Amino acid sequence: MRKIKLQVQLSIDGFMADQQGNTDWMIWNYGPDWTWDKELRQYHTDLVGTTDCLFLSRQIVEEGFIPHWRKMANDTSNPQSGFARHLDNAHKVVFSKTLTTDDDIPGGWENVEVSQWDIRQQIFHLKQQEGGDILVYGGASFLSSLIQGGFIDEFHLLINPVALGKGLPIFNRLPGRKALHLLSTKTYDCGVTLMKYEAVREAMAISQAR
Amino acid sequence: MRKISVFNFLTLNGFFKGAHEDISWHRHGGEEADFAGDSANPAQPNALMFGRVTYEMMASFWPTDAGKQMNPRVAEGMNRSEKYVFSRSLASAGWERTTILKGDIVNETIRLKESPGPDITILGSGSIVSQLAGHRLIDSLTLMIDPVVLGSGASLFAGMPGRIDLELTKSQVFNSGVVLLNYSVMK
Repeated sequence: MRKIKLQVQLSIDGFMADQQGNTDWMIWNYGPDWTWDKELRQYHTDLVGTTDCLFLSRQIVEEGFIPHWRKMANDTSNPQSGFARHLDNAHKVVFSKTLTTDDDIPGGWENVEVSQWDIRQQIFHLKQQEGGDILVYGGASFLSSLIQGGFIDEFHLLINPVALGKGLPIFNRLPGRKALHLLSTKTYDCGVTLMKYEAVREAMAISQAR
Repeated sequence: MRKISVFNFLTLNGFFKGAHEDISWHRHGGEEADFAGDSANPAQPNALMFGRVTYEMMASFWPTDAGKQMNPRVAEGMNRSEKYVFSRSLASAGWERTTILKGDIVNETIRLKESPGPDITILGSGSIVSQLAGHRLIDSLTLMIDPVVLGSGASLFAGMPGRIDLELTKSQVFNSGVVLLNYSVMK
């Protein structure tokens, strides 16, 4: 069955951005120069290659996510164009209570829809269909709500070698404790550590607790 | 100059304890116990440094039979080591080889760093870690990342005035899913 995957860059103390939303502490800040090492780039390209559907927050759409990656995809001299092509081609579902297709969004509405359902129904609907995995992109608030709802099947946490002290967390809406199952971990030459976890289903959580 | 390191277990979202001092989420498996025993190095232990809360929790456990039974090497290393606790309220300390430091945390630490003695390890003690890290007095971090998240808790670096940049020096994965990350702090 299709999986919903969250890949996110974090500081060692669990923040996806500093208090002001800055991410200049990331080894690669999604800028035009791809400052990750070759192996980490390959992992990223492979991950994005498994997807054909993106969940996007309204905010990230309005900030220009769609034209940014389209531009990268079209710049074939840039090594980012390979995975950017997958992002551009993927079907996109925007979650918003206010946005309609009568509104203008950067990059336009081609291959983009506003979800007609709440997120649980949307996921149920998509998981009934054949297809690739679903990647989610958005700010701390959107990602927190997806985590809170238990919608993420796989967490790909890219830990940057920095402690921020304060910032925007993504696990803060969980009411208590949530155990995850470590799938793998890998350290990369550029200093990033990938820790890959899957959500623990109830039966598994019980057997682990014994 | 004595080096100062931080040894802690963390949730994967950066908390060293949950609400109400909860650390029951940490996995104390065989591999973790061996690693902790090696790190405690009972033959030649580091000096230890704490805030009052962590100190009192550990002082009520490691000198007791329960502590010795749980991990004899860690208990021996911790009991034998020189201990420093920052507290203005603590009048006396029953745990052997403890010095209570009542002065300014940063100044006392600089003085200790410049005095002769073994390297110093800070356990728990989030407020001490964030203050000293903010003043560039921490040299390295040894973090055991548990495969668990908590919705709320105490972040190890909370209150730090700015960020600190790190360099990953070593990593290891335990069968339990705990990931050990060693960092040196960039000056």
